[in-house]
Amino acid sequence: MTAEPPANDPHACDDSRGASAADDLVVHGLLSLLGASEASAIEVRLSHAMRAIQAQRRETRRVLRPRLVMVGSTFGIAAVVLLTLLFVPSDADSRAYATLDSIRTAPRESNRVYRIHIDSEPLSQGVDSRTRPQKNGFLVLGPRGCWALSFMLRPSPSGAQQPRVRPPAGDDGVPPRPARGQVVFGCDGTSFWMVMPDGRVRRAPNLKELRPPLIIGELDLGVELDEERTDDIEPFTLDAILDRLDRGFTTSFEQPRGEGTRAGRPLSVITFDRRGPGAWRNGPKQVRVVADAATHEVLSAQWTWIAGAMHPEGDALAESRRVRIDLIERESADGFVQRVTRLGLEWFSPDFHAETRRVGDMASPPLRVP
Amino acid sequence: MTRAEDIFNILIRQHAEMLSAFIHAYAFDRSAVDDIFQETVLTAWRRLDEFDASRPFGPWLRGIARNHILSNARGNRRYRAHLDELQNRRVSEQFGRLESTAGDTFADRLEALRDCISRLAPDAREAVELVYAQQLDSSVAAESAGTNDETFRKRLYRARLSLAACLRSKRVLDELPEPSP
Repeated sequence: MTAEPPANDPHACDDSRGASAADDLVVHGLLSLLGASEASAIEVRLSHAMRAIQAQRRETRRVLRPRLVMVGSTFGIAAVVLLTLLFVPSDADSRAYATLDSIRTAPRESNRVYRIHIDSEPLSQGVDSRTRPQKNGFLVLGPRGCWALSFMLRPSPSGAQQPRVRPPAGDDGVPPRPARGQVVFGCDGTSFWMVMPDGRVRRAPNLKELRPPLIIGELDLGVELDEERTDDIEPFTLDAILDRLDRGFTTSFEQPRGEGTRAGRPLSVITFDRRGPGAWRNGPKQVRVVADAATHEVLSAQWTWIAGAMHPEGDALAESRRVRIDLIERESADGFVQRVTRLGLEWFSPDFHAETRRVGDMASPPLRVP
Repeated sequence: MTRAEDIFNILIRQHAEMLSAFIHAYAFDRSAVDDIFQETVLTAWRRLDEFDASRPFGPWLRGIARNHILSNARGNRRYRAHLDELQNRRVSEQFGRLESTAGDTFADRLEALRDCISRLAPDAREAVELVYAQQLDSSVAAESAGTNDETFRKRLYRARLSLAACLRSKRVLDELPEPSP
């Protein structure tokens, strides 16, 4: 079939409209498949289309990779949140973009500590949500891309709103017994490391080789892990994250004033809501980040997603899961921050944590949480 | 290639023939089909999360293709954009019916069409053969058939009408609605 409309146009000879004309077009389309070169033409179309998709993904990576690497290496598990934020659709609020960029580039003059809280809640009514396990941890962000995250793999008892807090190690150097099932991992600025619950240290040049899915699986973040594959073994890898880059989020941005602000200063609140029902909906349904509008310091962030499945009759087998990080103010964690500051980069070395574990210290920060 | 790409690749391959035929129904030339095909696949990839997996993929893909056709048709004579809503809906429904018929591939479902072609009158079958199978320009095909352009076009048009009636009789296409009084 060639480029010559009237020859194949059913309307060239008959202006009648209606079903018959529509059927004629259908037949015309079907007949086109019988062309001697149509099969190869379809292959070429498929090839071009898939190449275009890959090119688009490569371009997205080229643009975002420096930012992703920077953010990822800085934030650890929080990177999952912030990397998710970078799944920003083209129609996103420009103020949200600007704020995210400000958050990324804001100067970091001191260590910051975030409390991490993971919980889940059944979607069906009548199920006692207090029976759901909660998990808690801490994320410490240091200078030069250093970060360390400690987590309790064993869920804390229901209703425990605060992270499990143990008494701080005394100045006499006699620390309390270590918690079972505690894992610490992080980055010392050049390589990634993880201290296993038994005290062994695993090092890797990147997170992918570190295989934090060991942890991710324990945290039950709702991430599908396929042991047969290496390109999506965990949500930390950029590939796995970029895989979701084209998935749409609706973005909203606000700067509320008054109650809820931090010391009277305005906040920047960015909310991302996933668009559409989403067949491939790994990842959050909603991400909400609250930052100090003046300093661009992230004060809190929360991911929410649905895990499990909905029963056809409507009974929920699914549950809503949340990961929330909250900045612990210096006043609340002064002792710990001082300790980290005193240790400097040493605190972000795996040897320090492995050694402290062996002598019975805790890898997680002995915070005095108010 | 990522897992999402793998899945998407499979889905698109499964529907590539249908999508090509659907776009051909609206497009006047092959380059127009190529353009819409690529735009459709890219859009489908970008909006994959909006696809409801509990529903069939084909209609969703055709909806994207149709939107691209309509948007490209403005000021562009490469596409048929003059169909009314009922006609557009019927085209989509007929493709949906084709998808629901037996056959592992879309090409398998064209067996009925081949059978209908074999039942055409010799001159009509020749017209279909020259224009669609051999992909000749209609004026060249007319010359090859030993007739003039206008006669050839009418012959080809009648051949398609016969094929549509044949496919309806085989229940491959939906029956025509009753004519309004």
